[in-house]
Parts: sequence; structure tokens; C-alpha cells
Amino acid sequence: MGARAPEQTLSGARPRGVWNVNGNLVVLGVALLVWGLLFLYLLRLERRIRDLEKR
Amino acid sequence: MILRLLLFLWIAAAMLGGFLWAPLVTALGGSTRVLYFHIPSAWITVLALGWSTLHSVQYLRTRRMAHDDHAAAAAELGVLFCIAAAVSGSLWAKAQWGSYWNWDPRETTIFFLLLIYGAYLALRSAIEGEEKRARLAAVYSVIAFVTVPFLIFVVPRLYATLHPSPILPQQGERGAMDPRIRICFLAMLVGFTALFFWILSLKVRLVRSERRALSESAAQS
Repeated sequence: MGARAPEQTLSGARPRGVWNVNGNLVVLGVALLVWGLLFLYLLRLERRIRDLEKR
Repeated sequence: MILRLLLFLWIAAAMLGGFLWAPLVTALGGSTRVLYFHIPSAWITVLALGWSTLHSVQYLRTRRMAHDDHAAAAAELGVLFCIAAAVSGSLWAKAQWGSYWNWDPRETTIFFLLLIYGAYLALRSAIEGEEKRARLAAVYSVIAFVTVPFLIFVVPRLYATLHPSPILPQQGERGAMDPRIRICFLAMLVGFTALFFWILSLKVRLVRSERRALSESAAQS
């Protein structure tokens, strides 16, 4: 995950072809991860409640 | 299960769309994306508190505990989503206004709303006896909800605020949303609404199961 660094001159430090992490993609990744974990937690909770209701 | 998976994919797709497909608002830059989370959270706050009040009124009419379960669960979720809206709004304020908290009219009113409903939750936890708790909490909830339209819709319009207008401008009007931003935003609103009702049903079922287990153990002893 990442975006290609903007092309720069030799004196501008970053060599071509280096991949930098894009801040927006990091935020997107964290948001998707949090949503995935919350979803799994809710599914697990629902299964437990169903077991409790069956008892 | 299929509906749950659809909800997961729906919200994930709206997130991906918001980040990778929808453009940024020039004046807002990267903080544009906060709106996909902040406004749906604020919407769910109003929906949840309204739902809680509706069931409080129903409880006072019928005295059925099922309504109190809904009222309590919705108020808890309303406070949770209100905190999420306040935190995301605060992050947006830092990016746009340079400070996390400015006591802007909208920030001040959301703070009061949190205090009012925090007191509702404190009241519920302080009263012993199911019937008494349900009755007093229902009365408090009805009175508390009177402040919600005033705090959310009236006060921020009475005073000068830096907060963007809560009304969505139509296409062609000044400040109109890009259609791609509008699609992702509306998709998040729908997704959050479905998520709210899912969590609400889980919470209500859990409370009922606990009550049944308690009454069964009391009957055995």
C-alpha cells in the first residue's frame, strides 16, 4: 500500500522509484481494520446472545 | 448472515469510495473525509435519542419493560455516537480552525447534550428497582429530548458559527457537493443507520436474556 513519490531532482533527495506511504491510505487502512474488527466482534456477540437465548 | 455481510461490504465500499474515488473539497483538503464519519455519527445521535424518547413515551403509556429496554439501549448508543461526532468534529476543527476545541456554538451545544444524556445514564444507574427506574428514566428522557431540537437546530442558527451549514446545498447552488462525494456520504448515512439498528437489537436482546436468567435464578432459589 502506498503511492509513488513525486519525481525529484538529484539534489532534492528522494531517488526515483522509492515508494512512500501515503497518509490518506494509512487512514483508510486503519478505518477498514477498525470496521473489520468491530464487525467480527458484533458477529461473535450475536452468536453468544443466540446461545444464551437457546439455553 | 447475508444481510450482515452486505452491511460490512456496503460500509467498506463507501469508505473505499470516499478515499479513492470521491474528490476532495478544495477548501477543506484531506479533512473532507471527516464528513463521511462525522455527519453520520451526528445523524445517529439524533436518531438514537429520538428513538429513546419514542420508547419512553410508549413505556409511560403501556408500562411494558420492552419499551424501557429500547429506550435505555438507544440512549446509550446515542451518547456513544455523540462522543464519536464530537471527537471527529474536534479533529476536523484542528485541521481547519487550528484548535481542537473553540467553544463554537455547535461545540458548546454538543457538550450540553452530552451532559444532559450523561445525567440520564447516571440516573438509570443510581435507581434500584426496575419499575421505578424505568418510570423516572422515561420521564427524564421525554423532558431531555425537548432540548435536542433546540440545541442541535436552533442555537447554532441564532449565533454566528464557523461550523459549515448543516443543510446540503442542491446541485448548481453555491457550496454544492460533488456527486461522487454525495454518493459516498449518503451510502455512509444508510450504512450507519443499519449499523445502529443492528447494535440496538443486540443490546436489547442481551438485556432481555439477562433479565430472564435473573428471574429464573430467583425462582430456583
